[in-house]
Amino acid sequence: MNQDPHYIKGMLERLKDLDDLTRTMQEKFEGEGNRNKYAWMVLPFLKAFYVKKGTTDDVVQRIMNIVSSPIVIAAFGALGYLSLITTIEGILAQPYLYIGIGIALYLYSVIVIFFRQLDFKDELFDLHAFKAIHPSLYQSFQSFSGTAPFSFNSLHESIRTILEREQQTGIEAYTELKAVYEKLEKLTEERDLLIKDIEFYEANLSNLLSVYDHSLKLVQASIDNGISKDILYLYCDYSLFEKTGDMLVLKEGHHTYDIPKEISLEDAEKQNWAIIKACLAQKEKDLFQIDIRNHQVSLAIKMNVMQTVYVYSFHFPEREMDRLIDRIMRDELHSLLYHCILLYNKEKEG
Amino acid sequence: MDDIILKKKSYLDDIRERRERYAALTASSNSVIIKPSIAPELKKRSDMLKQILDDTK
Repeated sequence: MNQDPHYIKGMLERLKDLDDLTRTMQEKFEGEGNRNKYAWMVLPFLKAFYVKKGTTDDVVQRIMNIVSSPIVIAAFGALGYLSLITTIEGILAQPYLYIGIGIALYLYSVIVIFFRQLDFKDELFDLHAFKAIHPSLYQSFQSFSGTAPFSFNSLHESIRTILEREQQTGIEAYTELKAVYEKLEKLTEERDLLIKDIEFYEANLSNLLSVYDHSLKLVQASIDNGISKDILYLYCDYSLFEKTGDMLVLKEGHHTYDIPKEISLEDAEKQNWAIIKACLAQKEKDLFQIDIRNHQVSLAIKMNVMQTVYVYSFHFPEREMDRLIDRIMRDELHSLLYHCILLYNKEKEG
Repeated sequence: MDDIILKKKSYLDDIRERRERYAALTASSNSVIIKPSIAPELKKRSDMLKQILDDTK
């Protein structure tokens, strides 16, 4: 089915136009059903007079006005006999001339009137003439008449009713669907928030468990007096520097063989290093510093422990960033780290 | 490892598993639910019909 709106619109408009034709057909079928089947062949000549009736009436009236005067009547009375005798004599003497004139008049009327008998909209339309000339069309149009005559207008209205119903159903379905989608959207948003909450609390719980686990190790080590550098290992490789004058001195580390043992805080080439930036930080928000070199991340934290300045640096590959940064940048971990370094410092102090 | 930690870790693993299962179920159900594109299409067709009906009164 062609669903182009212009096509449908055109079809509906054409249906309305076609109804003029069907109405005419119905009238003709009803009005001319009882007429003689062959009258249309001889009727053109008479119809020619019928068509010209108005004009004929005028002419006749004028003639009647003239001929009704007494003098003309008297003159016609005298001439009437003479002309009648002359005319009869003329016809008898030259019959073919009059027959010819009669045939010519008939043919003229046929030429003028005949085709008009086939035109629905013409007042001279003749159903039998139409049937004789266009039998197939006649048969087709027969269905337009009868007790329940076909009407393009009723077809037009029927189609409109169907379309109106479809349009109404469409709007109702759309409104219902829209409400469902809006509700669904809200539920989805709420669900996504809940999933995020669960993920957040999962991560929290996981980190707290790690901190708790490590805290137990610290307590155990403290009880055993067996503090070792192992307590400084948290999630990944690390280095622990102590600030001594203008130098950072490497105290402990895990798999940090390429890190210098001593670094000058004034070393111009290393000013971008996280440990230098963290160590020189004055504001609390600057205590955490990060740098990335050769896809390796260094995340340094400055801590003051018992009047000693320490800089602890986490070292991990860049690809681990998303996973570890969330675990490292947590208050509970910083508190744990502080206590680790505190214990380490106490052990070192003896 | 401490028993409490082991228990909590097991609980955590259970939550993670359930969350992932729920996320997978949600993803598969999204494709079953009526396509959202049907609603705008319905509106478009209804508006088109309304236009035809108005134009052919």
